[in-house]
Amino acid sequence: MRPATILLSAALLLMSAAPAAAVDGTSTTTVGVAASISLSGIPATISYGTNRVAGDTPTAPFTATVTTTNLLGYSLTVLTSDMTSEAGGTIAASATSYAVSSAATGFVTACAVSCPVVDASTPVVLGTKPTSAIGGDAISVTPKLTVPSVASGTYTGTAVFTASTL
Amino acid sequence: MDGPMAGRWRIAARFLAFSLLVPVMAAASPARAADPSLRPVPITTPAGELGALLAPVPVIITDAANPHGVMRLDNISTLAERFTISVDDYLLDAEGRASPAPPDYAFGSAAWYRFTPTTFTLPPGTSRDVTFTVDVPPGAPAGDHLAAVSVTVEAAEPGATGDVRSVLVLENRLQHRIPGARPEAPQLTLAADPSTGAVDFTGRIVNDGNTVLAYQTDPRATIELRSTVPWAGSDPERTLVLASFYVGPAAERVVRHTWTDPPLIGFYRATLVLPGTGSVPTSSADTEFVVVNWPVLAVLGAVLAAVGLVVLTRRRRARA
Repeated sequence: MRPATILLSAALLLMSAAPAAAVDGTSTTTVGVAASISLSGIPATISYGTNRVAGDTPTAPFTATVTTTNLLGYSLTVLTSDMTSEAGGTIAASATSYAVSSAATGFVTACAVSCPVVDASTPVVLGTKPTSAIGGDAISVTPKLTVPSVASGTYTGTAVFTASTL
Repeated sequence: MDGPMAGRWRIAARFLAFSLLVPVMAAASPARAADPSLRPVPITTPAGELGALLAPVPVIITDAANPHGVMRLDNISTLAERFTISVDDYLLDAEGRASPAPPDYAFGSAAWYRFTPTTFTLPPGTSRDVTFTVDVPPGAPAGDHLAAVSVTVEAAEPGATGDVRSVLVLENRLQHRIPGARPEAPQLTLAADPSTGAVDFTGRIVNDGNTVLAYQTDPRATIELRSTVPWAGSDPERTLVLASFYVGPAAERVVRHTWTDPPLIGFYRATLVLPGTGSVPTSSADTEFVVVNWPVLAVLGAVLAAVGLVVLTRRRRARA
C-alpha cells in the first residue's frame, strides 16, 4: 500500500465529519483533510536584561501563535529549567512565572494573572483550546523572573514551549 | 550638492556621528554597571523567533500490516532551525493531559515507530519530508496502542550565555489499532454541584476496554436534564452537549460542564450519556439535585417584605 493511501485512509478515519455531499442521481464526493499543527512567535532566547539585582522582577513578553486543524484542539505548555552559572550558582526554576495577558476567545487558561513554576520537572499549562482560528490563535505570554539573592554571574537556562494536539 | 552624491555624504555623516556617540554613551552608563556584585549579561544572540509547522500529522493507523507514511515539517521562522524527532509512550491522565506511560504499560508502542531522518537542519522558509514506518512485533496485544511524536525545534546557532534559551516542541498523538478489540462499555459516575446561578457537573469515565473511546463531533457526550417536579418556572427538559474528548484504553477521564442558566428553583435528574461507538454500547449514569438561587430569592423576599411592610403601614395609618 502506498504511503499516500495510508495517510489518506488515516485522515478519513479521523475526520469522520469531513466535507461530504450526496445529491440524488450524482456520485458522492469525499475529501480527507489531514490535521496539522504549528507554533510560532517563540523568541529564540528570552532575555531578562542586564545588571539585575536580587528583588528585580524583569519580564520578557512575547506573542505566540498556535494553529491547528485537529478536531480536539490543542494545549500549550512550558517546561522551565533551573538557571545555572559557570561558577556553579543556581536560580531555581520556581523563580520564574508565566502570565497569559491576552489570548484568543475560547482559550482556557489558569494563568490570566500568573502561573508560578513549581519545579524544573513540572510543566506549566498555559492553556487549552478546542480547535484554533484559521489564521491561528495569538497568545500573549509574559515570562517573569524574580531575581533571587544568588552569587553574581551569568545564568543560563532553557524554556521548552510545547504545542500538543489533544 | 544634489543627487546620489549628496545621499552618500548624508549617510557617511550619520555613520560618523553614531561612531562618536557610542563611546560617549558607554562612558555615561550608570555606576551600577561597575558594581562587582551585579551580573553583566551579554547581548542576546541569535535574535529572532522560532516557528514550525507539522502537516500532515500522522494520526490513526488502523489494521495496516506494515504502515508507513510521510509527514512534512516546515520552518516558518526567520532563523535556521534544528529539528529532532522522538516518540514516547503516553497516557492521558484524568484531566486529559498527556503524561509518560509507566514501563509496564501494555498498550505502549513508541518503539514500533521509525522516523527517517530524526535530526536535520532547515533554513528559514524551507520544508522537509520525513518518512515513518511502524513495525508491529509479533504477539503484540490487541487493541489501540498510543504514543506521541514530538518534534523539537531549536535555533541552529547556539544562543549566547546570559539568556533563557527557548525550545519549541510540536507534539502529536499516535494511535495504532491491532485487530481483536475488546470493546467494553465504560463505567460512569456523575456528580452535580449547584452553586449560585450555575450547576457544575463532574463526570468520571473509566475505560476498561482496549480501544480508544472517542466522543468528538459525532457522537458527542451529553448531559440530559429532566425536571422531577415540573413547575412554571423550571425548564422541563434540557440537553447539554459536552466538549470533545476521548478516553484511552485502560484509562480514566474526568469531564466537567457547567449549566450556566438554571432556573431560580428546580428539581432535576441529570443523566450523563455516552453514545455507543462501534460495538461499544451506550452507557449512562445519573444523579439528582435541587437548584436554588438563594441570593436572587433573598432579594425577591426582601422586596416582597418591603412591599408588605408599606401596605401594612398604610392600612394602619388608614385605620388610625
